[in-house]
Amino acid sequence: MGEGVRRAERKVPGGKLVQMTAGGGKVRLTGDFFLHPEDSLPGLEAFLASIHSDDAASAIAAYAERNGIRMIGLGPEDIAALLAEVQP
Amino acid sequence: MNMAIDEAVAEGLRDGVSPPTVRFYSWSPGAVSIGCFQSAREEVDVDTCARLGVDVIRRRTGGGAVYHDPDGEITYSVIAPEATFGNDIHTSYRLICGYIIDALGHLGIPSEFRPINDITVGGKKISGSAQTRRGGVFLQHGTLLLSFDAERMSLLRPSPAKLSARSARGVEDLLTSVRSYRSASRDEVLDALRKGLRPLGEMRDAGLTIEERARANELALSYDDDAWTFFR
Repeated sequence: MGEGVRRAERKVPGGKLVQMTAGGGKVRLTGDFFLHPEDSLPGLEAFLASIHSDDAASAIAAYAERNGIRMIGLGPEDIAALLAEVQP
Repeated sequence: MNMAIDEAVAEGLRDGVSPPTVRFYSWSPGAVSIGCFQSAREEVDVDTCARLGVDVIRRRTGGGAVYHDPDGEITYSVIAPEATFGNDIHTSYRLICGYIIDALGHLGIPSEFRPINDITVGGKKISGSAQTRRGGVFLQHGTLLLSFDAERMSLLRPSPAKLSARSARGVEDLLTSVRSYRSASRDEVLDALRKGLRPLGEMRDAGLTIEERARANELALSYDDDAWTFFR
């Protein structure tokens, strides 16, 4: 992602570590969390790059619901909080 | 190769040509496996791994980085129809980890389940696991630490946020092992694991078909590919 990359991370209480980097119009999620199915992550990342942090938690929850994504060790609100940190 | 075998068996089960299977295995040479959503370079000292001949492998399952010592741990995998364990992921972790806790009980080591996917003794992790469900097939693999090599464990680079959440200074504060509590041969621990996992019922626990081996060889190529290992 290079210049202008912003990064945030959080250890979800009772859950997993989630890291987010954003820059160049892309968002990347890394960490020791679980997503089922695993190949849903690139789509989720593309979705995150397209939304604003305002009311992101409900938008992420709706995206997960539409796409049958189960999050273990993190939740939409954790991703939304990270998004708020990395968005300029 | 170990991850490729698990995946080949899961595919075989999906296609109706492999039976439900429990595997017990070790890694030789030693290896670090990382969860499929982790960054290899952030989680692992890859240069030292290369110097020591320790493989770095990205799993198809989530979860955290694990150092698999050739002599210091046993990895297990449970591969079965998804319906066997139901839809609830948390419940199925608790169920299978319960069998591992029973196995530790057979060794005289009292342990506890720590949600989401860990087993602890005295507050330190002795076993971790990771689960995936694809094509109607359930796969959970996990490790049981037999002994603890602090130097090799330093190949892992846990995030400061993860360490501080457990008031730990390093990996050595997070982990423990069977031999921290009692002497035990590998065979003794394997026997205990087989007893603990017995409630799973009739499962193949040894051997692979020629087709599974061939498919595993094919899948191993993708696990060995740096483009997969370092793509995050």
